[in-house]
Amino acid sequence: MLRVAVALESAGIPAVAICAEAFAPLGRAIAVSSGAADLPIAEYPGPGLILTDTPQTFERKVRDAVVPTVVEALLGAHPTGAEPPKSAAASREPMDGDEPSPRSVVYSGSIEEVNDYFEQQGWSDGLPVLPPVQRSVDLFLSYTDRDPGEVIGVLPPENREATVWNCAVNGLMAGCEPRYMPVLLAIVEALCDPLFRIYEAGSTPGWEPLVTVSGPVVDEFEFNGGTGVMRVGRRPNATIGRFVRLYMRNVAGLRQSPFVTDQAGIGQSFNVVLAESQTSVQESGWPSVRLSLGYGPADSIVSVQSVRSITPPIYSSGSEPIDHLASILSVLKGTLQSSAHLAYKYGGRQYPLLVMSPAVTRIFADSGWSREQVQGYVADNALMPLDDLEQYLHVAGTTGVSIEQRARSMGLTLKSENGRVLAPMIVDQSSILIVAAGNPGRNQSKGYLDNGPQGSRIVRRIHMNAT
Amino acid sequence: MNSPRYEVVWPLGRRHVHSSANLDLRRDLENREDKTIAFLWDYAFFGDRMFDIIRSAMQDQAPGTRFVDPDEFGNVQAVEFVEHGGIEDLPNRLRSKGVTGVVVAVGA
Repeated sequence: MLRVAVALESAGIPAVAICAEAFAPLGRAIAVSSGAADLPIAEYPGPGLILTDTPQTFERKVRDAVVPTVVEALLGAHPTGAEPPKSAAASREPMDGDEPSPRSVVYSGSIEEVNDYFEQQGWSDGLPVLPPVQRSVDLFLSYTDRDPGEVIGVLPPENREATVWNCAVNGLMAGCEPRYMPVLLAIVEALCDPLFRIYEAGSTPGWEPLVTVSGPVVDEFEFNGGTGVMRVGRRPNATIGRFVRLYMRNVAGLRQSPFVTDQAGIGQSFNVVLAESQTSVQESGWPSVRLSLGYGPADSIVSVQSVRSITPPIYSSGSEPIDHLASILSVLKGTLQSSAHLAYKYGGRQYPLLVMSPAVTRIFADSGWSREQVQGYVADNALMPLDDLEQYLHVAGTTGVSIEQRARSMGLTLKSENGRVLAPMIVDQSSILIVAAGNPGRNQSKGYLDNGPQGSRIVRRIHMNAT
Repeated sequence: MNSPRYEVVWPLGRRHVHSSANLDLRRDLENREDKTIAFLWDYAFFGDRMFDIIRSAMQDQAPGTRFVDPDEFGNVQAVEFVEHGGIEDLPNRLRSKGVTGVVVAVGA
């Protein structure tokens, strides 16, 4: 919302943003970094929240606290009988002008002192970091032909340059091996894609990016794509996963309390990298992720997307695809039901990802089921009552959207069953990504469910081109 | 034995601070006769109820003020808006409707 208000002010149209009190500091931080420090922000005050206050309290708070700022900002007058509001400009934050240059030495000390210093500065994720010294950074840079000063993008909300150089620095800090550098660069390219909406990575659901790696690089770097694939324990999976969150913290500026830009309600830890091993693909006869996403067998790729929730482990048995899909659907629907409304609120953009052990995907392959058939079966049978969908939408804060109207405008078909109207939980079957990974000796699957257009699935090729 | 010392570099990146046009956007707002206020909404957190209260207060303060409802623009966070030039087109769309000020809601 703040980005819209800032865009209008920058275009010369007076605007005022309304925020709940708890989000006003984040709003000001975005306004300041966007060059609109004077943007008026009308705060809905606490204690109490918009969705928990009584209608009487809601009306009083809007009238007494929100209206004065809005009227002054847009009419240039104070409402009759009201006290002049506190000017938003009074809370202007200083612009930074004395930051270090990218390659400058910012501190010198023992490893413990460096870690203490970085933590004090907000440059750490709370785990020990490897000290980023020039010679170690240079080792990372030797694995790419790209200019260290190349600006890959500018990442909001702090609007900092994402460069080849700081990609190496943060990869080093996270414990990556220097040779992972091409993977790190592909990930940063994905984070910089505007469709990823990294500026919304501090939103209250507390979603985390999930990186999936597919291609020869998996075996070359010895990623774990088998048993315990999503556990911390294998260096490339763990450290590259950690790198993503560290980079978002240091370069995008998404820092949790006491900073204000990460407003995750509860949040979750970083995801290790999901690797699709060649062995899993070969054992299961299932198309690889890179082929599913339109790349060639010799390509190595990363796919980066949001994960808002994860299903429990799903066990399935039987020799027919439908036996397995019935079990997968029953658990998937349970986890998906609380976030399915996002596809309606935002108008599409959904990225469900299913990790299936090779023993499960082999059932589909051996039965001659294509990827499209499996996707279609899941999408056609993932339905939920319309009124439940409306309720989840409402409690999450969306108060002005009709699921029925949205379904109609999106061309979706609603079904009736036992007197209840059922709506699709997955609005685009082609968005379902199936990854063969995990313990080949077990009949298990797991769903990783996205946060809609926030953290849209972005795919980039990994360029292993250092000379 | 002394611990080795590490001379460490900065892990952040140069910050881009966009400078707005330093416009005194609100100069003479009070004296304008033709006030038109637009409401932009993400269809969340009872913005519609807030707009009703704001609309009423503004009419009391400046009778004759005109209003443009959020349905004219749709959900300003939706894919069809954000990814299809909605934000970029907004200033011209608003100007074409004679809008003099915009309420954007609700961040929560």
